[in-house]
Amino acid sequence: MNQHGIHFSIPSVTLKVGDTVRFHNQDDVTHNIMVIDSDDNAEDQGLQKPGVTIVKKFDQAGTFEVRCAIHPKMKMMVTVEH
Amino acid sequence: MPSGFRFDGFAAVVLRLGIVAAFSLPTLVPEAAHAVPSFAVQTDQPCSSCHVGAFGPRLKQAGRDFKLYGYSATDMQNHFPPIAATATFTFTHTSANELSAALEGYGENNNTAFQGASIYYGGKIVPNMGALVEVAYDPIANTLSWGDMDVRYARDLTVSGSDVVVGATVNNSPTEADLWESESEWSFPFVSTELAEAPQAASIIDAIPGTVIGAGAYAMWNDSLYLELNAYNGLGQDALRLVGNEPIEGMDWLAGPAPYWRIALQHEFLDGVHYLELGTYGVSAAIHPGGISSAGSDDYLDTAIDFTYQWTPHPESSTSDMLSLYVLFLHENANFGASERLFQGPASDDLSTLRAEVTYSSGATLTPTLQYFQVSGSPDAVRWSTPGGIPDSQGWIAEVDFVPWGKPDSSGNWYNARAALQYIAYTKFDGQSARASDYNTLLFALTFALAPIW
Repeated sequence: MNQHGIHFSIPSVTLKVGDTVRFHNQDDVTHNIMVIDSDDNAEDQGLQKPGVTIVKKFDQAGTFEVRCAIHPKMKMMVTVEH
Repeated sequence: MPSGFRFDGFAAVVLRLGIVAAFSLPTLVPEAAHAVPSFAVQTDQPCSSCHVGAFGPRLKQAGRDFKLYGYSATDMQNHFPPIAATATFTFTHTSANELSAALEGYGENNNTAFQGASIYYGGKIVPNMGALVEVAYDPIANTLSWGDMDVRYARDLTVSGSDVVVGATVNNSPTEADLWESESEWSFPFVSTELAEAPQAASIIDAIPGTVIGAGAYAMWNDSLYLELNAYNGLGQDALRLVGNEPIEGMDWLAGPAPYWRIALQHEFLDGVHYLELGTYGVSAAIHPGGISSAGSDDYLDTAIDFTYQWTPHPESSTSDMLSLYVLFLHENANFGASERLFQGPASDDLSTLRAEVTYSSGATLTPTLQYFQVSGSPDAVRWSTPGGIPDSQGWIAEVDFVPWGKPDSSGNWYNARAALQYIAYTKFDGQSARASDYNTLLFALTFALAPIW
């Protein structure tokens, strides 16, 4: 999964429990990864400098919204199935 | 106003010109740089992420989104309150000397000046809510007044499967909350000086900023359709004094709420390589000329169409070269029901403004801009103190900006500077073609911006 031109490269993805997603910042500006579950609980993965990859493991089933707190329009959906 | 005062002949014209001057007052002060590095600190972004040429106010899509979402996006780190400051220094040369009486302390030409300084609160207040509030000092006029003010709340929703960003704004000018380079708050040129003569004619939407307060709501549907509706009320005399705009005897007053509307369609193509916007906006204002309510009101209707195109060949790079095109056509129709009775002027007039502009930012460092502008309208000797009351002006503005910092490889994002070399060439000035070039103006401006505490 790339962050490119202040967009996620794909708008949604479906995973299995335990799968990981690698978010790779291809832009020359800082991004952030927030993973928000269906109850609105947000998990901040921290700042992501240019060129940095953040690896997030999804170990629970559900629907998650992934956003960049810096660029509020950057968002994608992750569906995790058993 | 004493009862029984009569407005006729020369006195009426003088009073009317005073009224125009009074409503035009905010536009006479130098335009602020609108570069607010506290936004950059809050978001851990270089200026080039959000601004064309790495310096405000021209916005890229990331900048429009930041404003749309209420100036509240952050890097999730702790920061001090988002305070920023700017200062501008200018050198001004006009083609002819003594175009008007020199301002006190300045020569008839070739003036170097400390042009202005501003302090801003620019950034998040609480989650989903932020502000851009400016206090501006004008050393030439020795005045302290409010500048930009836009306090907004925004959040996003999902409505019938579509993303919708909704928000509310309280601000002090129609177009203040706008996301595009529209009339009048965000339009080129971004630096000007009262040490050079400028054409008189301005539509009411350009004349009322800083003398009104307004509130409204906006929505962006599916990142495509933008709608905004605000209403503005004129400030009372005490409020005007409080914000640094001293009321003038005989100045115009809004007769009631003035609605402002904005509709725009936008779309990005090829992951942000191409960006298009087409929109319309306008304001309807009923005004008591001279503050006299007994004669009814003058009714102004300003309607504009605007177009933006931006080409960013490498959207993954905030310092990518960038080509921008802007076109604006603004038409004003005014019916002077009250002024006709009070000043024996025309019953109506119209004023049209056309601006077309191209700018190319090279590496977000060197940014030349060329603009063609034209103002034309019906003669009105009561409204305009120009020969024959003709409001027409036209010409070209060329500017080259150099911005050394505000990019990913800069050592910090809390400071920036811009050197601007600007030349305004008039082919018509206040209705005159013969000596229009006397008003040609060369301006060199240095603007410094910093967020001193982060």
